[in-house]
Amino acid sequence: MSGDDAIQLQSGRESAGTHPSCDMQGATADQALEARLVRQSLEGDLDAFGRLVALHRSRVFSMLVQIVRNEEDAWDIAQEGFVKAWRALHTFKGDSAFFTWLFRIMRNLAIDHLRKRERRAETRLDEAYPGEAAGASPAASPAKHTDSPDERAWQSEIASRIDKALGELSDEHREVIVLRELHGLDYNEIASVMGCSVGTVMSRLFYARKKLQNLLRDLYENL
Amino acid sequence: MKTFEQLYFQAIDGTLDEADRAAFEAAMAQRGINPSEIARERAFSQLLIREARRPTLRHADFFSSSVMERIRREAARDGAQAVSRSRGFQWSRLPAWARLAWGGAASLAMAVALTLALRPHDHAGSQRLTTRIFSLHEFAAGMSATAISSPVSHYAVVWTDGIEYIPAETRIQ
Repeated sequence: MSGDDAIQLQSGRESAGTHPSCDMQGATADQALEARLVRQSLEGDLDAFGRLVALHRSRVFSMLVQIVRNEEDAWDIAQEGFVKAWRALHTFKGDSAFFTWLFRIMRNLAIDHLRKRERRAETRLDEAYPGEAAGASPAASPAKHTDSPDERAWQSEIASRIDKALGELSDEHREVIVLRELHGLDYNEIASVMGCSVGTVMSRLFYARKKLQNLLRDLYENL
Repeated sequence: MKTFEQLYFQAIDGTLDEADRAAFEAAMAQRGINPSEIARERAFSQLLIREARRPTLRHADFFSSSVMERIRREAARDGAQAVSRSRGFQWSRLPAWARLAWGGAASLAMAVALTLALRPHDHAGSQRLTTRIFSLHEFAAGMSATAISSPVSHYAVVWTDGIEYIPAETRIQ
């Protein structure tokens, strides 16, 4: 595998603001590349695993921040998750996408983290989550960079409202919204990541959306 | 039979086929949901996709190098452990016959050690000395003698009771 392949794929995955479901072209080629990198990693090629990390780090981090709502925690979980993935790589059978398998590991760590944090009764997530100030950015299209300051302020306000509303959802509801609505995983992938049936995923998503719509009623009703 | 939620999301995703459409519209009517709701649901999805913040990983290269450093450390440690394991004796890695042989040898060694440890001491020397003492003196009811000797350390100890003295010409060997 050439380094260029990985860089091309990396740039596709790492570009912020694109919905993954829009990035399905070349999925088969991506999977073939991933399969090759996984095989090389299993043979002890650390550089190949490094390329897998580079391919998925941004998406993993983004999803983790949205689930645990704290960037430092998400960083630590992602680090731990990649090390754990390296150790468990021999258990990856290729019957699901590598990202799905990888994110299942990350998700389990995130859930453990959330449970520990609940037990410690830490500060509410949305208070700790630094949001845009710490580097988060609205999933804006390139055209948005030309928006007027008023429009940008309004978009920032909407993004803050969505953040706050996500923080008020239960962990399970927030997780399913993040995976489906913000990152475009399909229902089977979400079921695999969350370790439940597709029916349960849809049921959770249905109620999570209703809750979110209630929290964002004023925005939602102006749609 | 698909659940209402399954049909609902198929409708939002635009993947509802004709066969399911009638069932879905009936379920919508039964629940009092306006068909225009689906269009609003789609718009809501678009709002989330468009406006929700996407946290960006800053210092991505540092992130990667940090992960890979941890993995390299682990790989080096695992490698060292594997080498030490391969050099050392590992019971679980022995074949069954070898384990049987080792077990038998160990049992035999233990049996020999126990036999030696529990073997009664050889008091022949003591008996001989006692006999010689007795042979020098007439037996009396109030007389008793006990003797031990160690051929290794070259000593002999005699306890007598009821004998006033041992004649000077008697040599105990």
